[in-house]
Amino acid sequence: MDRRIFNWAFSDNRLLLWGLALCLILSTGAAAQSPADFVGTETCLDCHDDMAADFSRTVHGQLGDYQYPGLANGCEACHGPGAKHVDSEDPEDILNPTAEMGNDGTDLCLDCHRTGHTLNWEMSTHAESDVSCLSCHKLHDNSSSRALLAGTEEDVCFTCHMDTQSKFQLPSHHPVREGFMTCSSCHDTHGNQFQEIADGETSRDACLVCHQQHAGPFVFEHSPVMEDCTICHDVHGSVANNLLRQNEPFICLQCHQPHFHSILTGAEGDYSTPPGVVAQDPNYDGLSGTSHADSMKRVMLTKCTQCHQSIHGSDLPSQSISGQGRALNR
Amino acid sequence: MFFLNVNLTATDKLNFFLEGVYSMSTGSFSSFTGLTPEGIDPSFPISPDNPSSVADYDFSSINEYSDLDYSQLEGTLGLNYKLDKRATVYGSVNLMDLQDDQIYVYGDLSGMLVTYAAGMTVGF
Amino acid sequence: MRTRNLLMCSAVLLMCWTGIGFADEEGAFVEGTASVGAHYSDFSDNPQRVGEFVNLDATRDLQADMYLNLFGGTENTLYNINLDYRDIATKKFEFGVDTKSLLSADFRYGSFVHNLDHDNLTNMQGKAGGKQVYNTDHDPMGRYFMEYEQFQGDIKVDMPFLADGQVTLGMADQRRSGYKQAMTIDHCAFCHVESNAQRVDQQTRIWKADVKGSVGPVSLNYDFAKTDFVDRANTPEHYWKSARHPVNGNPMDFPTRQQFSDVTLPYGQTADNDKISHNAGIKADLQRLGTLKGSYTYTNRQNYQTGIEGNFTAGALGYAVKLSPKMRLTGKFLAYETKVDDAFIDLNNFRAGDPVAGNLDFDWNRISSANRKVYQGDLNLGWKVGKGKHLKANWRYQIIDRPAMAQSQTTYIFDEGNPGAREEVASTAFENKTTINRIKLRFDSRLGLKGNYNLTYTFTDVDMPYMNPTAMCETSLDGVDSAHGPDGRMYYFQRQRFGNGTNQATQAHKVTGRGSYQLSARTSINAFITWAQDKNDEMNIYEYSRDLLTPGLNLWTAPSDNLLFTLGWTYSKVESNANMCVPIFDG
Repeated sequence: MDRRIFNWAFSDNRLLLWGLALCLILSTGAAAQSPADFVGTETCLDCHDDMAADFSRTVHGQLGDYQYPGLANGCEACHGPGAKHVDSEDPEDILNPTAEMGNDGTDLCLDCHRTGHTLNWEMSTHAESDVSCLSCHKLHDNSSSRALLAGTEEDVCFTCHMDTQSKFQLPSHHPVREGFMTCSSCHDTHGNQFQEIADGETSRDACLVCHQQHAGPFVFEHSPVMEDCTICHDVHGSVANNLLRQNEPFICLQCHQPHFHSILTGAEGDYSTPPGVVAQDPNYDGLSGTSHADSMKRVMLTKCTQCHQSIHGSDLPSQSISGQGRALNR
Repeated sequence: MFFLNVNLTATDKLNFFLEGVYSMSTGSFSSFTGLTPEGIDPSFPISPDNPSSVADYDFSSINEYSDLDYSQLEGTLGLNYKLDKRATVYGSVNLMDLQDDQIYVYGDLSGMLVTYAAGMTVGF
Repeated sequence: MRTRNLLMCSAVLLMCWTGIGFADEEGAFVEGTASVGAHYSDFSDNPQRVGEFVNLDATRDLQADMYLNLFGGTENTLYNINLDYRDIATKKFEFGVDTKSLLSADFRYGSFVHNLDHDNLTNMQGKAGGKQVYNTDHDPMGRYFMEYEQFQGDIKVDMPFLADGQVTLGMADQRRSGYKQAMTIDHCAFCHVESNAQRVDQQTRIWKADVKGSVGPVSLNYDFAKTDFVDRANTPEHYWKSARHPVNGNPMDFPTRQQFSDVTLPYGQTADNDKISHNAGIKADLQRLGTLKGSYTYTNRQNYQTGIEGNFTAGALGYAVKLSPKMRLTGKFLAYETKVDDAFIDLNNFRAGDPVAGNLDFDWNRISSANRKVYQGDLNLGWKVGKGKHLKANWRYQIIDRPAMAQSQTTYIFDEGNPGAREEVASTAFENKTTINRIKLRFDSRLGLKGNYNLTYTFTDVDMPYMNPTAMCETSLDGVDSAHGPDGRMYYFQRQRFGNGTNQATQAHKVTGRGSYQLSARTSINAFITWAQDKNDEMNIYEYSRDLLTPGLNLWTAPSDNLLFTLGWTYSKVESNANMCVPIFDG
């Protein structure tokens, strides 16, 4: 930037002017309303008596005066001043936020619900997809839900996310259909600054809320665990046990090669530890098995975590020195 | 996956409902073939201690070790009977059945669980 | 536990106080339903998987059911009580109270059982030459399960002097208790996999404090959380038998090739840890100029067992504006850094005491693969292109810069002509920077007054996605092992590998669609489809691909006032293609 322009723009006096200009811009949003334009909730309910009992039983009907940001509370906080409508009884003379404001009146909701859960709303995936507050919440005739949800949480979410709903029917799934978890156990539907999920700086942290035993940080890591749990897990549901995207060993073999023992041809018949070995170390006594031609393949290529059980990380070195203790056997 | 929900209001007082989900799920792997490492003679003895032992590069059956094949049925059949404006009695039978047609390391997981429930609901 | 019980008691007392105290107040109301009943469950064959979330201890026995859904209040107060009791381990309880004046409180408690499978290890047996594999399950009839319990309480106090002002104090107490299967392995002896029941008694306690409020057009939010995780169960121990030649069983010098041998040591240890996080956010409502948001996050997690710490520091900026009544623009930028302490791994010297073929030092420095700097930008444009028709376009650009994509490791490269030589190649030497470009287009439209549909197409292009570098496929050596003699070091070291492995795509296409249409006043139909194609053709040895197709159809119909049907069908197929490298036998 040209230094003269910079000096002009940010000299002491002009900074004040910039500030005043900003205040002017911010203040232009407030519509000119006078207290005389408002009639009060009691007046509204004289005609809309079907709403009377119900509204007072909702969170909105219970708000203290200080919790309303404008001149009015009750019905007129959302529907605007009612005096003209009371006189004319014309629906055109009262604000219908759903029909008259963009995105089902979500901006109106955000006048009060500015921070906390909704701090990130404007930048959320739902907002970017034109999901409005009323897509999930029902404000009238809904006294039984303090969060004013339009149904159960699953009903609301699965209206759009039907493919996810079907995944919960797979043999391995998080217990959502059993009612022990809900979508919001992992997802922050109002937006999270990092991901579309709740309680986490990264997607991994969202999983760790319940699976702290895998948090570490460990001495011996399994790097995809540190990267993203979904590299191996399909968190909504899968055919393979433990929500694995594919069953072992194939999920593992995409990033690793098998042990060389898997090319060994197995012997046929029963076998047991040789007597000479047992004589030297009685701890080997009593071990026996049955072998077939493909036994070593069955050992090495059925389920890697039978031996690499600490697959999510460990602080204990595994036995082999040449493997540098990294085998996650302990 | 198929699901079916039926709700029948037989009379002002009697209501039947049926909820059922049937799913079939498989996880399978194609055969592995032609996997001899380049430059390796498969007939070469692989152990100095056992010269007759040769490598077995036939991996064509390893998919069988960990293939998965499940079918599941979960269904509930129930009824509600209104005794009066506020009180309703209910009864239901819930069936959960799983067939494991490709046994993995956990043994045969096939099993069935049936739950019978009955009670009374009062609205206030 | 004492704190949780105290809070539970407080919740019950508060519940009694609200119920009794409000009953006689003017305008008091209470509505809801209550159920009392019983259930009896029986099973045949194996109930573990079919009843994965069923408390099997409560089957074959009559159990009482209780359900209460109560909602009540007065002119100034609302409260709700929800109870769902199925058996002693499967229950849910919620209580909430909201006063017009200042205070609201919510308490939730729930528990359920998760049955775990029992690996019978029967595949772990075989003999090839002198190599033998054995398995021993010390708890063959063991039934493994985990009982989850969570208590959560939040108390919110309004700050009337501040718009949307509120202080929240919260506490959560999670328990995982039960038994799981713990396995470990003796190797470089006869390979012996052993299984035991491992007691689990884990507790996570989270303390939270949030403050939020708005001053004029500016909204502020700060939250703090402290998480403590402990496992009170004893760590299992295992006796590792004396190492010996895996083929002929002779002791030789095999113990010097192992970090430990002929000793009892712990395994399956759970790392107790704690986490502290601070998160501050600020949002300015600039009216017609849009909304501007910024945030800062810092977290620290420490492993109590080792003292290893990890820090996460992040800053985010966001801006959303309506460019016109029909157009909305969002821009976001996020940068964060994760840094986990290095760990020095001090190992015994390999074949210590053997001056010719051994005494090698395998010590190494573990650089965490969690370490990274991430920069991410998002631009999103929403455009109302016609009545009931919306088009959205999103572009995301992300850079993930890591010092080591996989946990730093050392690959030992052998020179055929010089069997004693080795070269260490740390994984930090590989390119570890991932760049992601993602474009997403979505179109939403109404179908008159009777329906709507949307279609989304996402294309992701990734340069250097996460992978395990040099993970598979070894260089071939003539004559396999015979050229190196019985003491050749190649028996025991990782041979030089050159193939990268991953299941992450360099190019991914995804199409999702959903539509609903009301065929008549009594019939409506919903359909959805997801199609995705991922491929990675930039790896050095093979092309990875993944294809996914998931269509579904739901039909809702009410042939008469008395009869209602809902029918649904979903099909899903995922097919992945990857490479498997067969290793060269070298031991």
